[in-house]
Amino acid sequence: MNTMRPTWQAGPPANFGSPAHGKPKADQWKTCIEFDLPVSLMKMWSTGAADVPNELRLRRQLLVESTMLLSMAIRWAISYRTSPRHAEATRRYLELYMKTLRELFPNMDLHPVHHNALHLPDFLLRFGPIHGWWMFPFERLIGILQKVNNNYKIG
Amino acid sequence: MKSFCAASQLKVLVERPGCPKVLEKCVPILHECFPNSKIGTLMHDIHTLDQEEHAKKVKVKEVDLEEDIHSAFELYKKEKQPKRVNQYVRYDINGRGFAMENTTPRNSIIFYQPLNEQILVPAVIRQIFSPVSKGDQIFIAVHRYQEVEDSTFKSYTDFGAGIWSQERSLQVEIVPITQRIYAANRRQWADNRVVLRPLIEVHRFPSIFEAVVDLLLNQDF
Repeated sequence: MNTMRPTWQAGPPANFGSPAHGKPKADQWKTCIEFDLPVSLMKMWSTGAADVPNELRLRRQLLVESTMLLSMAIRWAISYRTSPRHAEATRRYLELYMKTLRELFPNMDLHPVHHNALHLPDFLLRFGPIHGWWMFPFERLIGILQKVNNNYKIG
Repeated sequence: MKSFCAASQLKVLVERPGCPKVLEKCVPILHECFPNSKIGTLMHDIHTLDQEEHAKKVKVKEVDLEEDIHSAFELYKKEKQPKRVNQYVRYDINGRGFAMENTTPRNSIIFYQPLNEQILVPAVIRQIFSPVSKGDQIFIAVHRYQEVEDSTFKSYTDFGAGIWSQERSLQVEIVPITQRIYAANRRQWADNRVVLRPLIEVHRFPSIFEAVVDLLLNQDF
């Protein structure tokens, strides 16, 4: 992808989406959904080519809409500040995103993770900005510990 | 781990509405010790052990300001200014690296809030400098991206992205680093057009005044 990003921001892997890459990490999903994916979809599908059937064009536009809603929800949720305004915007965009999911994939069941996400606005008000209590530092610590040589001996 | 949890709780406390004023005054210290850095609190702690090395990496060079930047600087300060300044090829603000365009183009794209305006505008950093006699006052000389008519992202204002011309204004503007500054992502959109989107804010010392301004800013995250 030809995105120009600051040197301190980790970009998605070059082979993102291919089976060779394996399962993307949460941080890689976050980077993609923040900029690369929404912008790519907007560029490809927001207007729609003339030769694309109407039904497919509408579905693509709804997919773009859905991705944008998720991106905006994340943007409000991961702010370094919080306020009732942040919580309300996060809730509004998450609900709209899930509605578009139901339209796009009527046979798909919503998962507990979708339910959990709807609690985020309450947590923002109770515990403050998400950076203070999200699990990324713990994941990072686990990553560091996993790289420590221990001669395959536990403890 | 205890320090991390304590710092997190403290950060949450000072962000809450109704936080005692005396604690609000400690915010700059807290931000200095536990910046909102992408490398995380743990890595920041490790890096603080290496602060002397880091200080060596900040390259400072005495140079004369170019004519147009010097004029813009005098206009900004509303008084005569010496041409001789300390130039920083790179400069870290709260753990985020910024640089001059001819050094690291990726770190030279910013969004900032011009004085007396309620919008964020994208620009490219041409020079980072401080007056020789006032080394603690750092300024950035920037060229704004030129605006174009394009409503693609208009329906998604909360996404924060917009489309601008690849061309920059010839006019130099001076931005103190105490002002709101965001790093940015940039992507080619079409011929001579780019998509730009601000990332996370890095302004240095939050103050009561800025908190009031924040409420008015459309793109406040």
